[in-house]
Amino acid sequence: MSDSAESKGKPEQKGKPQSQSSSDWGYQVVCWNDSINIMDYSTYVLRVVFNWPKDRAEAHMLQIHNVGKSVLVRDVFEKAEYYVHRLQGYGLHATMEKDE
Amino acid sequence: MKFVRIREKPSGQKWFIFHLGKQEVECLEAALGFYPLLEIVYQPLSRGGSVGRDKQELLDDITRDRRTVRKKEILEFLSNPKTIRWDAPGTYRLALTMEQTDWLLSVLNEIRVGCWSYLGCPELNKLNEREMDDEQCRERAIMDLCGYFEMGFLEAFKLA
Repeated sequence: MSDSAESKGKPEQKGKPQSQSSSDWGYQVVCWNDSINIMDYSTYVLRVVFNWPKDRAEAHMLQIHNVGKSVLVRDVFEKAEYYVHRLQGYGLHATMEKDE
Repeated sequence: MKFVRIREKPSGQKWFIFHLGKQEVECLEAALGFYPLLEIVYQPLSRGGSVGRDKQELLDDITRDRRTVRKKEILEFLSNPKTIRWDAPGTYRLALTMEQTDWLLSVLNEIRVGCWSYLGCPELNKLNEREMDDEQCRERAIMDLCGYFEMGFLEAFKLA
């Protein structure tokens, strides 16, 4: 998958308080590739759920499509759970995984 | 289905206006009638087992509740005479707010994913090579129909 997607694919960096280490965020929200969701639809959902600009959502969508998955955000348990609920509500294949 | 225009009301609320043929209206109504198709435990909250069983059960409960609400909303949507109106010979007018369009997109996608899951989650480019029974052909047709309408609604969002 493209490096550009990786570099853009770190929304969790934005607004992250400097006093908190990465382990405080605890969980990754991962979106997995499947062959059913239309690429434009996946992009649309990422824009709606994360309020991302189109190019950022597209970069993650392409990473999902080409690499098989994309880490969308890193966050605390409750927020990660919330995002996964929303993404699954839209039919995307999303899970939350402990951030090692 | 054709996206016609965006109409903005004095309140600032935007409406997407679509034109549909009679058969398209029938197909949309038929596809929505299949909701819900996807099983509750379609996908786990976590693949790595890093969340407790109680959290998975909570997600399942939320999914179950959401489906109940959506089914009710679909019935209201289809029974509302203002939703799809006869516009001209052979043409029907579908007017949706952005929120309604978002809702309809997610509902159609859930039906589409449900059909795909029923078919065994195949690679779509290999579907034509498969022999299918009547039931599978029906699921395939609904899946394609939902995709067709989704593309139409996504087009409207692109132009908004």
